[in-house]
Amino acid sequence: MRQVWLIAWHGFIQHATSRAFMFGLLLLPLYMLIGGVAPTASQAPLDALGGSSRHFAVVDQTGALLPAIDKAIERDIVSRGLLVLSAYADENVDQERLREERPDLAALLIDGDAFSDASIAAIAARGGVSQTFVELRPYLKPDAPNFNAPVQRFFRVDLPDEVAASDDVVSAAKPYLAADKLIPGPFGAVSLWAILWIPKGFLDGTDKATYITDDTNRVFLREVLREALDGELKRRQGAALGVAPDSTERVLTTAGTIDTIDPDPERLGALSQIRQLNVIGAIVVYLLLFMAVFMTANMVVMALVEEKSNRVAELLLSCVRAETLMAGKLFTGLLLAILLVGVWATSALLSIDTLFPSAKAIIENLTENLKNPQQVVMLFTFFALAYLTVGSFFLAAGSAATSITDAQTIVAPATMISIPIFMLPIAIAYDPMGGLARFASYLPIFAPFTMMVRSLSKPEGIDVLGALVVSVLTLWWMIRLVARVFRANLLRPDSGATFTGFLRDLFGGRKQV
Amino acid sequence: MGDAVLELSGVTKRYGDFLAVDRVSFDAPRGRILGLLGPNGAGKTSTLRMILGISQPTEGEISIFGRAPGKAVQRRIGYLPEERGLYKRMTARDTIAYFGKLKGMWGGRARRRADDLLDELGLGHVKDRRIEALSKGMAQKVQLATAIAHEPELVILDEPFSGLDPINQNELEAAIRRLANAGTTVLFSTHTMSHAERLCDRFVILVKGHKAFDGTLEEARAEIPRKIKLESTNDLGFLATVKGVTQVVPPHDEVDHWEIFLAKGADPQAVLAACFEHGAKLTRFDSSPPTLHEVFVVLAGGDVGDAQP
Repeated sequence: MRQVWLIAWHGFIQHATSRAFMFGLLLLPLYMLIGGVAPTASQAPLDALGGSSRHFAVVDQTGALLPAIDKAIERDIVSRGLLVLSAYADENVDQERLREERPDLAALLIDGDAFSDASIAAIAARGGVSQTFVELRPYLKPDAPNFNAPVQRFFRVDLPDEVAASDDVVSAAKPYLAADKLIPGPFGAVSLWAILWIPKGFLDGTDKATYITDDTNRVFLREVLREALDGELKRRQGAALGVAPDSTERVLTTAGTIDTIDPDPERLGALSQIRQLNVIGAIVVYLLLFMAVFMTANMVVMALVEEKSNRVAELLLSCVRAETLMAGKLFTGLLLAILLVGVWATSALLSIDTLFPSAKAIIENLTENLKNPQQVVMLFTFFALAYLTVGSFFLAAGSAATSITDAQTIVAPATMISIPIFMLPIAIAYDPMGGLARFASYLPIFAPFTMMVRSLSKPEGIDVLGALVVSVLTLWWMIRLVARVFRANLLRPDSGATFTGFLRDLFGGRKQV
Repeated sequence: MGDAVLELSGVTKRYGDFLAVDRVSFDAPRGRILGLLGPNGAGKTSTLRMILGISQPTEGEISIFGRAPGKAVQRRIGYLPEERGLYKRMTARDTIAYFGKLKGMWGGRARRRADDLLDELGLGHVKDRRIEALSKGMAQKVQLATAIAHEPELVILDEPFSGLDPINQNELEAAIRRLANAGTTVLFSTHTMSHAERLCDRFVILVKGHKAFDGTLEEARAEIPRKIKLESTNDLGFLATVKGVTQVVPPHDEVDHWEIFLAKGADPQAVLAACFEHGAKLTRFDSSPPTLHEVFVVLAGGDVGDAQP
């Protein structure tokens, strides 16, 4: 065992202090940094072009609909603010005290329907979202974070005269819609997102309005405008039919309320936000672990090929048995994989405050899911088993090769064959408690990879035990096969190794050298 | 053979259809230097690998310190492979200490031993230098140090002199003598006969996997006809009638002197006396015993490959 440790530690130090490994080690944190900074950095130029704000113009040939549109934009600001404030209050307010001392606020923000017109009207009546937050502030929990009210997203701007006066508005507006030309906005020059063209015959129903944009996929603005025109048309139709304005308003603002209940919140069915975070988190963790497994297995193989070609392997074999050498090499890779994952996880945690919000939410959700030490142990155990299974196979491939090219000839097809092993757990991340997940937990070779994903939820004990038994037995079988190939091939001088020849060695039982 | 550290008995090694070693038997007495000679492809390295337990014999038995090769005796053996390879980014000192530790030494002792060996081999000033920064001769000495760091009782050196300049060859010879003087048994393979002739107490000569000879230098010399080299202006053909002379070869295109071949046990002085009797004037009389290279050429049947004098 001491010899295994000596070889493992020696290999670990040799790799961990090499420039290539350091590069691989630090590349991911660098990507995190770039990923964190880039959205912020790109916001400034984006803002200059309108950014996340959308600037639109209206050509209203009826001369009657602009007030309705402006009102709808105002309503959009309040409704979005209400949604965000309700979610904020839900997490950060002492709800019991709020209900006791300010039942009106609690009814609006905690127990109310944030989508209803009544709630939106109530917020507007209080002076908007910011003013409502001022009323809420005394009831915040001590560690509540700052509240950031959403900014206005839609701004109506005036069209340049030559466009507004043009007979062909679409052609005239094209350079503005393509951001080749900017128009004056409320805070400087901006690009034009869309134009709503309302012909004279719109009010009597003879003509349709037209929404002109070069991005037809994002329809939030169009829907806000459509609702505004729709409501105004109905009001006018009601008036024409002699319906009292109050009655029309009551009809328009009447809405059914729908409560939402999830009978099995743990199960990943519909993609609620927390579920999305669970799925994405599991996939991210799995991808990182998978990357660490294959990256280090490849490194150990390449080092073995080098030792074989420069005859250090022969010297080592004069000191230790082939099995000891193989075990030492395997543990070298495991130590490297742990170092990689450790550095990546630590850098993710340390940079959490600088990460963009969605990445931050994923990491926070992951740390919440991994609070139970048993789950961490489970994750590490299956990660180690997955590595040892892949690593031993790769080591056998390395022992059969006499050059890096030979090794790649063998390892490349092996990597392609392993794609299903890689893909299945990604599918399982969407339903870690489902039938497929449970089935894959008992499949040899797939089991440790599947359980790496399932460890982030709370799999049934019997599945954990079953997967553990299957994984250990698979590893034992794999090491027995691989050790024979390793022993037989390590000093074999012939070159020109092939993948099929390697498989024959592995399963056919070539005689020992 | 009671004091034999190493014994091979009918050892055969086949790689598929290729017979690398064919029923080879020999032993190595404790504290002696045994030379394993033969041209490339004679089976030397295959034999050494089987002794080390790196590969297994197809047939026959090997006994080291009374046991089969393997883990039980691994720590009592030191090995210098033919093709040198060390970790380029490690220092000389760490390299020796690492292999010492693999052979069972503990950290502090291994490092002290590495320092001592480097000083002994004249490399004390480069102990913290990386292997990649050392000359070939220095690296080879470090490699030797890795083989003997754990103070083995049997040291196996595969072509230890290849690639070394004459000065480093002499230093290596001295190091091997020191090992033997300290009681270590040394087994080394070579195809350079002069080193073997100077160093070895005994030789085993392998030719195409077969053992062609096993014995001392004197025994080796006795294996081939004694030859006397003569230079004279006279015709020395009369020597063919001298008792014990088996063949007289006059100078020819390739050899500029007379070669007189004697039967086993014949006295060279009889040839000299016959020359005086016939009044032949000699400018050279060389009756020195055959060199190991000459023995080797005869035993190898002329197939000496890249063997050097």
